[in-house]
Amino acid sequence: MRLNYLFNLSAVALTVAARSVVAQESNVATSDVFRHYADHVVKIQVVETGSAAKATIGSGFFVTSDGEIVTNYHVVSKLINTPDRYRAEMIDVGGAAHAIRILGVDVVDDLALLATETHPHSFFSLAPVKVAQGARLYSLGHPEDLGLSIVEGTYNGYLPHARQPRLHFTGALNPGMSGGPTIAEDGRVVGINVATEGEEISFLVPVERAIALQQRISSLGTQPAATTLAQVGQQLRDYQDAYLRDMFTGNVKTVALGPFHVPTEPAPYFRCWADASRRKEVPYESVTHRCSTDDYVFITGDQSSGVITLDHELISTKTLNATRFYSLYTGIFRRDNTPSGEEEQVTSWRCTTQNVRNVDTPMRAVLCLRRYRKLGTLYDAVLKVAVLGHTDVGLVSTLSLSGVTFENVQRLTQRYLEHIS
Amino acid sequence: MSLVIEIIQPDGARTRHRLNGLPLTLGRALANDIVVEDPYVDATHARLTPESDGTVVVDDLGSVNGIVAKDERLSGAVLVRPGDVLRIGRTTLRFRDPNEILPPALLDHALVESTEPASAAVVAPRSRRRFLTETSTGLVLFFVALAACASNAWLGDFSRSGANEAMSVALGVAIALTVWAGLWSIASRAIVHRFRFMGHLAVASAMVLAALGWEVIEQWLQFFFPHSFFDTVPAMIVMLAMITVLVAAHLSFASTMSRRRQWRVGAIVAGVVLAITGLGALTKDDSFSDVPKFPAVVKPIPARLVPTKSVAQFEGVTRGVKDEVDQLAKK
Repeated sequence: MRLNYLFNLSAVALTVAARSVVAQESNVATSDVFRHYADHVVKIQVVETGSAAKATIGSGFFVTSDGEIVTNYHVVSKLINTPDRYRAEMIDVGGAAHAIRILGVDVVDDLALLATETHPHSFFSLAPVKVAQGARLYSLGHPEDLGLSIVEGTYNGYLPHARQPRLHFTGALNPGMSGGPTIAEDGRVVGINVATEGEEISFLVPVERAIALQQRISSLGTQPAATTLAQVGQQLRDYQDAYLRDMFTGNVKTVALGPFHVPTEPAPYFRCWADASRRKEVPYESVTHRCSTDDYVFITGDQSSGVITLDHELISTKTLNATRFYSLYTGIFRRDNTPSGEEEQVTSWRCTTQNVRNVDTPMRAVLCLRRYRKLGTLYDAVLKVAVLGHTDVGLVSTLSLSGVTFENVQRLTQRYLEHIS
Repeated sequence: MSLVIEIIQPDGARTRHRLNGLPLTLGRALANDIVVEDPYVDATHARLTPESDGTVVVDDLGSVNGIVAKDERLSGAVLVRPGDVLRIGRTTLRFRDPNEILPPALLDHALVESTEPASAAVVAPRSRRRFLTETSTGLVLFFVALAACASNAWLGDFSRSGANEAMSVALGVAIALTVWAGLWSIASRAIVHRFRFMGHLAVASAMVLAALGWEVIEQWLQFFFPHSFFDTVPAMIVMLAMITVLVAAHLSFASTMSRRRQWRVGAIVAGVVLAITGLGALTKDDSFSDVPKFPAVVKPIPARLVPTKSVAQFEGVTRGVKDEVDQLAKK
């Protein structure tokens, strides 16, 4: 599953208008909700300083009378990653622009707390909230920069397969609504708009995460925080440490693929799929087994972190001779399935290849590494393995890790190699 | 000292006369000792007389256009030595020493092939060339090279249409070899007046076979010793050697150069090619890419024969990769 973040400026027709019909059934009119809370919500825009054109647009909302605003990290990520090229401003309900300053971020939960010099008449006071599944919720924001809009939908609880808590909101969130609040009828904030998968499947960051960020920032008092970029790097390091500490330890789950056994489902929040293909036009069969999570941490543009995938491909043949089969095997082993990247964010890949043997299985193992340029000592790593020693069956296994420390790369790849047989 | 006079007419035709029985006269009239057929030459144009020291003096006998040396009309008697060049009318007179030193005679391949039966007198290098230029050798090497390319393509292909692929590869190689040998043949025709097509075809085919053989060896080296010096050094040496041999062998058919000179030219061409590809590799290596490169080749050999490192040793090696990307990040 790949989520779409809600901040792009693409001209897409809106489905928002069609939803107002449903509101008639509720005892609270959507128009009342909008009227009450519209002035709590603002537009956030990141502007490219060279051309003075909008690069990113999102939403945010006041959480204190001092003009503090909660929005998504990804709305202001360009400003954080390339401050020399962008500036950001807040547009209030009256259309006036105000400068903003970043107080702190929670990159893993995709939240940012901003300071402004304004003093709003009204704001959302954040508090933990319990909502029943099916409850009616209202999402506010600036879809596609078309002005403040309200979207009605239903609450559908926490996502089951996610390490980071996310709420499932059935309603049509659209680009530009990122960072806006989703509220109950009584005006309590339930979550912060963050992503959509289309077809009214949308996701919210639970309000508790925003409260935690608010508390963390206020506990710092007036002491100067580390630069935002350094905070991001540190948060990613802490995150991956907690995430990976116990992966592939203890009772490692394995799956049998042909004569081989390989690790699978490294944690409960991983989802694994398998598929087999027997096509007449090719003289071999292939079985794939893939595990991934819905979790990933958006950093900027093309770059995401905390993505961990396992990818196994078993190939076998009844018709190819050993030499021809190994040409195929080489081709599949060589196939690139690494994440893309931009020069501004990451270095080129560098790889090492060795023929390696764990207890009794010889393998060709390749480890490719690239480093993050701005976020301290974090790496993307890809371990590719091809099991050797058979003439008509082979297995290519790939472990892909993004945004991890080198110590974790070594620890995980070692454990992974030990569990292939 | 005796001299030979070489008379070169405007159309390039030459006649030579040994200067015995001096004095002699030169002119258009048939009464002269040496007749020069040139309308710009007088009936009796000049006279050659001996000096007491053995040199020769040329006198103008009052001709219309005179005697010219280095584009200047001379007056009076001219003393000539071997190597001197004069002009009368539009005809060049060259004076040569009959005992001048000459390069050794060129070997006439055509004569050796067509007339000489296998004889004990045929020396070693000659026999090798003869072997290569035989039509049969050229054809055999050509077809062996095609078969090798086709089977290599078939083994490297894993689709059901492998045989078709192999055929089209063989066809492509056949065309390329023919064109290559054809171009060399044209060069041969221009330089040594013979096409030598089969010889060139044999050389090119042999080189294709050598390149294929090296590719197989290189893959196994990459499989057994990934990221070692085998990645670059042997490949470079083999490439140098193959280009040198290729160029030298073609030149042996297409030029009158000495054997040593052929090798030297081959080595220079190889050096230039290597320098260009080396430079290309250097500049390419520096650019950013989000696609990793690694020696992916795997080979079908029994598990116990695969030389391997332990998992712990592998983790040790990965530290080097970390250092590399750390360096990259600093740039």
